[in-house]
Parts: sequence; structure tokens; C-alpha cells
Amino acid sequence: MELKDVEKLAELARIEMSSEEKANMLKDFKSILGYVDQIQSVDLSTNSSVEKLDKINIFREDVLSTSDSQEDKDPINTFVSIAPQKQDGYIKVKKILS
Amino acid sequence: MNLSELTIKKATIGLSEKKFSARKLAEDCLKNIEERNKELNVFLEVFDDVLAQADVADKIISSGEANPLTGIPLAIKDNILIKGRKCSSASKILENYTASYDATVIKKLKDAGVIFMGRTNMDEFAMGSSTESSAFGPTKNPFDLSRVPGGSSGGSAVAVASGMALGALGSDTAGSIRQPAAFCGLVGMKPTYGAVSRYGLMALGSSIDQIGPITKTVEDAEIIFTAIAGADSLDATSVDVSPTEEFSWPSRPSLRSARAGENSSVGFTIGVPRDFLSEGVDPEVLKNFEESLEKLRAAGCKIIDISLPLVKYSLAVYYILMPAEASTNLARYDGMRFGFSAEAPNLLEVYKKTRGEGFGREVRRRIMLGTYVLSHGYYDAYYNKATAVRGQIKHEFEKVFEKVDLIATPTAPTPAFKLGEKIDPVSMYLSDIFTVPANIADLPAVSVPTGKNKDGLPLSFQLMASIGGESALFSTARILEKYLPAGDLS
Repeated sequence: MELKDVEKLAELARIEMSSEEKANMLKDFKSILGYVDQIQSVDLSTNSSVEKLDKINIFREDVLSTSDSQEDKDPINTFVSIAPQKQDGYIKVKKILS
Repeated sequence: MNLSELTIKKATIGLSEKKFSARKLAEDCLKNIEERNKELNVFLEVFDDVLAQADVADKIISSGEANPLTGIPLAIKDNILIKGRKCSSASKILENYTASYDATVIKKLKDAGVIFMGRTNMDEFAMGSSTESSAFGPTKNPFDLSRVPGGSSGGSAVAVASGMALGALGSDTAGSIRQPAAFCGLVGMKPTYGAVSRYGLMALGSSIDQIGPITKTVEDAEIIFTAIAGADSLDATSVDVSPTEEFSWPSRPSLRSARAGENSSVGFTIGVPRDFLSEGVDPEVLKNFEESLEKLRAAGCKIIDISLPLVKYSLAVYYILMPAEASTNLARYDGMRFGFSAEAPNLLEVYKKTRGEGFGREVRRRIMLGTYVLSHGYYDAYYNKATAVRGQIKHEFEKVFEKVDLIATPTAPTPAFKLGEKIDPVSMYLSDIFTVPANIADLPAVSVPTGKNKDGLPLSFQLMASIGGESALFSTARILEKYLPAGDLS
């Protein structure tokens, strides 16, 4: 890994960082990846039947129920009220197209 | 009242016999907070309606409708939502966020008539093992102010250890309940994955997180666990695992008999993964661990050596899967919908500045790491490989649980370490080496205090059970607890 990889990741993760922090991050990454790389030595060929986790999906109908809103009379207003910027009952964001 | 020795169980009896009121109990907790919160930095906020909550509880008690948690003061980790109150995950990005709904565990505790004392300090977004990554300064260990209380639920542990609440809720993704409980001389319990609903818990690693109790005694942990456990339609991963109800998972006869009573863990077989304990463990921790094993043997348990060759990879698996899940979960903090929003000329700059300024160093590091292990070209080598190894580790535990009822290790390789001691991230991560396997394998686990080292720092013993084996954990942990000298609870 090099500094330009850290810069690319910061871009992808949408995190502004100083160049000093990027350099520190590179050092930390080398140490952390050096540690986690030990899993590459685990041989998975002997027991391929358990490779996949036994997780299953649990679905429900997509309907609004009182337990969803917890007796909130105006869930839309509750949702909008916590936004940093709002106008006329809508969340306000910066324009995307210039 | 000496709150450092008062258990939830004793308080419930005291309240029902009218020896004291819920108001008096809450006032005494507030007095301890007044005296020591500044020094220890336990609460990010002490709620201003504590006494009003206590008065409501007193009315319930007078009406004869009380249950074991009515009027009991509890502290809540700052990543669990209480409607209408601030909830920040100890992060600048959520400093002024107010929760718009109750977490399911909070709803259950409200129904039980609990008094919520306040929200406790933690590592930012639960990312850490020392509470030092909090954006609002570290919490101190009451046994030695130069040491950490453990983490990430450090504030919750210290609240209980210093008599500011009788019990607390924490969350545990790699040991964040059990390790701070260990460092503060308390009982910490991480339930089976899915046993407690996470609806309203700020997500870190969704395939790993669990909410659980921190208390003075095993019995108290069981009281809180029973109150918060159960399947919830709002958390699709939740299942019914209750210590008091008939439950189909434990296949071994000895586990089934554990429900019969307190002493039924006599005859349990406890496995010790010797290979796993051979390196990096403090000699006093190891000696205390062996002594605890002897006590269990003397009480009628059978202790055998077991081999778990893959378990040593749990921490490496964790540091791939958790950042991957965290980077996804924390994508929601974009400065648009809630929380902090930085000023910038365009949308992209708002995102980058908000996240750059709002998240602390450890959080930025883990989001970046998660982005890396999920990125094109590295996904197979890291995320997919780690998922496959996790499956193998789970399989290895399942095989061992055909031979043993429980698995024992120390809770942490050392007692509480010094503030600022672990600068290198990997050395900090290694503090979770014994607690993380239970998270990776979805298992329930409990940490129990087992005395102190020569410097007076608490030492702790961990027990893990198979999925749904909570009752075996509680009954065996109680045996160890009997050996603690009276008055050594905190």
C-alpha cells in the first residue's frame, strides 16, 4: 500500500483528511493489515461444506404498523425535524446538478 | 445507603419492604454522581428528571404492581436510543442529535419502571477497548485513576462500580461489555447473537453486535437479561432465548438440567483451550485463572483441555468484518439527514468536511479500513476469506460443544492498563483477544470478577456457552462468585 492508495480510499469514504493524517494512516494500515493477513494461511480446502455462514433472511410485509411508528402521530415531521436543514416539510440538500 | 455494595436484588427487596423509597435510592446515586462524575468522566449527561422518574416508580411500588426492576436506577450507554433525549455515541457528529424513538430494550425497561440515570461515556461509536476514543475525553478507572476502565462500555462499567447506578446497559461487539466489567470488578454479559433486540442500538458490526448488562452480581445480570431478551419484529435477527423458558437448542442433558436450579451446574464439563492461553498473558492473570478453575473443580465441575486451533484467528477475522460492516453502517452520517453538518460550497465538500470533522481518528481509520477490504480487487482476499474463516471457527466451536458444556479463558490478557499506554492500534486491538471469539461464533459469554492482583486491580474469568446456553453460564458463574470475599463487589 502507498500514500496514493490512502488518498483514493479517503475519496471513496468521503472523508477529508490532512496530509499528515494520511501519512499516519498509511503507517497504521501497514500494521493492521500485517496482523489481519494471518488469515491468508488458513486452509479452507479441508472443510468446504461450512464455508458459507448459515444465515437466512427473515422477511415481513412492508406495511406500516403502530409498532413501527411507536404511536408517533406524525412520523414524517419527526424524521424531517432532525435534519440539519429543512424547508416546507422537506429535508433541504445542496444542489446536485450545476 | 452504601451503594457500592447494594445489588439490584437487595434493592428490590428493600423497595418492596419499604425500607427505602425509589426516590431515596435515586438521590443517593445522584449524590455519588455529584461527588465523582467530574473526576471519573462517567456520564455524558445526567438526566434532569431522575427524581420525577423515581416518584413514578414509587407510585407503582405502592400500588403493588412492581417487578424486579421497578425503581432500580440504571445507566445507559450513549449508543442506545431513548426517545426525546440526546444520544451521541460519544461522537462530535451526533453531539446534538436527539433520538426520535425508543430502542426496544429501553421500551422494555420503561415498562418495567426502571429509573434512567443518564447516558454513559464510551469509545466513539463503540470503536475501542479503553473509552479513550470518546470525543468527550476518557473515563477513568475508579480502582486507579491513571488507568483505563476498559471499553467500549467504560462509562457504563464505572457508573456501576462507583455507585452511580445499580446496573447498566452496554453493547458488545468484541468484548465491549465483558472487558470493562473485568477491569472494574463487575459481571458483564454478552448474550447469544440475536437474544436481545438491537432495534435502536447504533450499529457498529451488524452481524456481531449485542446489547447486554453490566452488574455487581451474576443474579443481577440475569435479572436485566431476562427483562430485555426476546424476539422483536423490529430486529429481524432476534430470536427467543430466555433463561427461564423452555428452549430447544442445548442438546446435552447437563445443559437441560441447568434450568432446574442453582446448583445444577455440578457435573458440567468445562473445556480450557490451553494453546490459546500460551502467549501474551500476564502471569498474575494466568495464576488467578488456574485458581478459579480449581474452585470450579472443587465444586464438582470436570475440567478438561480442549483444542481450538482456529480460534486464534478470531481477532484477525474481526478486524476485517467489523470495519467492513462499520464503513457501511456509518455511511448514513452524511450531514444531510441528522447530526452535524459542515458548511461547504457543494454537496461533495459537505460530505467530506462533515465526515472529516465529525468523526474522530479511530472512526476514520476503521471506515477507511472497511472501504479497503470491500474494494474491488481486495474483496475476495479479505472480506470473503474472513467470512469463510468465521464459518470454520463457528464449526470448530460446535464440534467442541459436543464434548464440553462451557469453555473458560481469562476475560482479558492483562488487568486495566494505563491511560495512553496503547498508542499502536494493533496493541489496543489485542486486548480483546479472549473476548472476540464469542462474538465471531455468536456465542453467549459472561465475565466474572475473581479477585485482585497485587496492585489491587480486579481480575476476571470468562465463560462461554453454546448458542442459547445462557442458563449454564449463569449457574456456573454463580459458583465462582461465592468465593469472592464479602464487600469486595466494587
